[in-house]
Amino acid sequence: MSWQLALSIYGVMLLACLLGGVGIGTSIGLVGILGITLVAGTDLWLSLGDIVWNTTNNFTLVSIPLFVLMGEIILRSGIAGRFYSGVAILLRWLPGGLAQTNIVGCAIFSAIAGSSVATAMTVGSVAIPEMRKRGYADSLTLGTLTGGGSLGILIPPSIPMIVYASMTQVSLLDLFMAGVIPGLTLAGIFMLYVAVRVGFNSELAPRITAQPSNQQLVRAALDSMPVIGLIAAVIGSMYFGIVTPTEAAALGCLFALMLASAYRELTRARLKQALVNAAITSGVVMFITINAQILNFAVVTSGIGQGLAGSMVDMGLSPFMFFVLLLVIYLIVGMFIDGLSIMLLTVPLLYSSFMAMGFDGVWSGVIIVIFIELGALTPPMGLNLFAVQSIASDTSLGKVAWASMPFALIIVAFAFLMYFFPQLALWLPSAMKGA
Amino acid sequence: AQFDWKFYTYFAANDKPTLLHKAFAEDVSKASQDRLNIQVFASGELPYKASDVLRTVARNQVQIGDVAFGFVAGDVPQLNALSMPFSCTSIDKFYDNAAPAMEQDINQVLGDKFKTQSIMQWVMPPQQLWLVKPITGIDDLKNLKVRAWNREQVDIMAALGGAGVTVTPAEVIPALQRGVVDGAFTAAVPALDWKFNEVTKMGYMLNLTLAHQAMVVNQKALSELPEDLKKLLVDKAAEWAPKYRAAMIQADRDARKQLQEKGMTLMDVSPADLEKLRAAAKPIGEAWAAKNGEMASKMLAGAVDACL
Amino acid sequence: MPASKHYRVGRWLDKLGRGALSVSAYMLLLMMVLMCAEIAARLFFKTSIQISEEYSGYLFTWVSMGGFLYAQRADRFLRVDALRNILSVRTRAAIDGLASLAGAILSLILLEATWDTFYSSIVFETTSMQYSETPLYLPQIVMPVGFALLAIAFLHTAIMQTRAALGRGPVPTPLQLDDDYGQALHE
Ligand code: NA
Ligand code: NA
Repeated sequence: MSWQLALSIYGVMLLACLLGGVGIGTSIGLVGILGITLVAGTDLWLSLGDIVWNTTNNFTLVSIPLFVLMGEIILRSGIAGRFYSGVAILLRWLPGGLAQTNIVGCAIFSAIAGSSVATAMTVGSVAIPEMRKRGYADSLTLGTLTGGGSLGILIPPSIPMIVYASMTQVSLLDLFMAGVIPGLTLAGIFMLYVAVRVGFNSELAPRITAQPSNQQLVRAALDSMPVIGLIAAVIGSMYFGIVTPTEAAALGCLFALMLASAYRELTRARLKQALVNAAITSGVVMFITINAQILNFAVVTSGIGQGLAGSMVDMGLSPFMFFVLLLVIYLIVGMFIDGLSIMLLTVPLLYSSFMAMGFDGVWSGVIIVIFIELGALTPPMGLNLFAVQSIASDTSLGKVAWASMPFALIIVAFAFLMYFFPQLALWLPSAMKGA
Repeated sequence: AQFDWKFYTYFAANDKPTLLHKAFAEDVSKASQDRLNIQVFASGELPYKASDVLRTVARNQVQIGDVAFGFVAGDVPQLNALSMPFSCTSIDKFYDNAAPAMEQDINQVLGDKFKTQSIMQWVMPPQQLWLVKPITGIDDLKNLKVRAWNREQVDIMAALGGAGVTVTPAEVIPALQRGVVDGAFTAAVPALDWKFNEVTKMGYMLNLTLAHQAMVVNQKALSELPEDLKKLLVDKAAEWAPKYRAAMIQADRDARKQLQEKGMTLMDVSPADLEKLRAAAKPIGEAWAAKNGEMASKMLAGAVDACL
Repeated sequence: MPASKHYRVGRWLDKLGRGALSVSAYMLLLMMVLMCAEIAARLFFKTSIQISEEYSGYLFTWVSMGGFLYAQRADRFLRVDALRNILSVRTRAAIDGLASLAGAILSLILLEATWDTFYSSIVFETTSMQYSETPLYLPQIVMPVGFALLAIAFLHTAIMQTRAALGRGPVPTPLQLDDDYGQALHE
């Protein structure tokens, strides 16, 4: 069978399954199984067992539940709340006040959390009540949370990056390092935007006149210390060769547990909740990852990946046009499917094309992460929108989406910046090797 | 083609062994006038790990596999004589003496339990120790943590007063780079492929073991071939063994040279240290032989004899 | 089968899903302890416990498989809702029934495949190649068990949805844990 025919069959079947409300993981897996069955009957079914075993038993993926656990402990022990109020006092001089705090808070919390939803939820659950009390406009607040939250998968650790590395054999450490500068830059652009917008419309944020007392400042510094310390400890332990990247997640959990006990806020019930949520995440993420590996196997076996890559080259598509095409595809798919699923669905199909177009494997991972950040902000399926709406209970999804739109546009612009300046991503990993 | 076979190797697509396998497969396809077409799949192209290869051949998921006895120790522990430190460290003596001597026993084990057989044995160049900080002799290995990928490497490090540590393959480079471990075992060829020169300073040329490999074929698939194709395949394998031998010796020499050109120091073991090393290694082989039965004892003694 | 039997199966699946999730939670804690023990062994004693990487992998398999049943019962597997949401209640139940059937088919295929993997580890007496030499069928047994339970759960949902579509019962509601476990922070 030609790869074109195979691809058409995959496409039709996938669309039918997804629109029919079949789970995304199930859809991807069934299409993969159909694919290998078309090529070789049931002969290759034996390999499905190897796929399940080698995927769930993959040491790189082991860090996923551990990073989730670390974030959960910080959230449930109240450390995140203290951190937010601390940073809020330290940053109140910035134009936009707490709106800026949201972005800085998200950027810093991103260094603990592996997902954008976790980031948006953690900062949002503290920020929204506080900001409403002080008269900030929801149209500003909600966007800073959904937008800031999207930094969670760009600044390491990042679950989509872990999964990408496991599918492409790209070095996870390189990928993590490659996300740092783009993440910080994007955070900087978000802050600039908030400052400008508040400058034009001062009603969005209350003007703060009272100066914090020295005592308040000391207290604020102390409150923001634990989270900063935790991040420093995790990164430092990796940098000084005490742990490998995967072990860093486990060590982070231990530090988080110690911090939480020091504040005497971590009850057994809360710890159990944190553990249970991390376990559910493992189940949900791994179910779809296993199925994506099945699809991956089918795509290799039926020659679709190579065929698609070859035809992109034959068509004479320039790398830039390819990039624009991808942006459009991810934007559309991102309206209906969550980011991790998009990554797992598209990487098997498109990775060969990225390579054929001459893109770097690490850069490709970062740009896909940026594309799926966009998807988290677009309705009808936008996980960051859902997350923030669930905290700001009396708001409609439309309002959250509208508030998020400027941030989505900034991300689109930023994607182009990444295209023209790939060094934004690639400089740090290469500099790290030189050191 | 009349017969389409899959050949799986756990080496990466551009690694030296994969290139050899591809050249071999192409030669077979050509010589059979495309009646037997063998397609080589490298690591990541099929969902198997190095430790799965023998079982995937046994279950006919692929018809030929590049089996490293060290990695399938969980399936055929008794075939691991060459993983015992210093049991055989000469590539020439392996091909001239050890491989022919072991062939029958290997095929007995592979045939009985796995319904597979080896059509060619070959070896990767010797395992060396790559260190982040230079040392002067084996006494400096005390208290060092070294990434070990099998039990015997852990044991020899323990015997020398250091520690063998497990690190997942994907994290070996960052672990060396940041000093989570002080060194790692591997041959010069993969050390070059993995750019060890960027993260380590010294190659301590222990010649610890040769990694014993076999081209293993599923017996049912083989029996389905007409006699002339069967003969062609077996003959081609025999014809290619010297090519693997020459290519790996050459690759080892080139890799050492390139690593040195990239600024690494390669240090040979002093005769006095070698004595100590062999003494430390002896109990490891003895314990293994005692644990894995008569076949294991016989093969270890045979390998040691053949490579003296 | 009478309706009461279906509900009993549903309650039994819920209970099992919760139980498996609790076990997963503790295994996750164990995984963290194991890795920290390895870090400590290396840092303070210049040695290695040898099983950290290997057993973390096994535990991760168990943790993930342990989460499947609960995720199915609680309707946590992600899907595209856009089209479903505009359908009438009974049509949606019919569609959801088919979707669950698809889940059951996938689970049954993976049950068969993982059973083969597990069984071949028994036949070939395969152990891990690491220091522990653990027989592989031990960690692998969770895969066929997990997919068997998942298949049963999908089939159960398919039956309940079909009954709802035919007007013979209510639309099944997803399992909820008593507290805010539901707010897992992942995607
Ligand atoms: Na992050
Ligand atoms: Na979206």
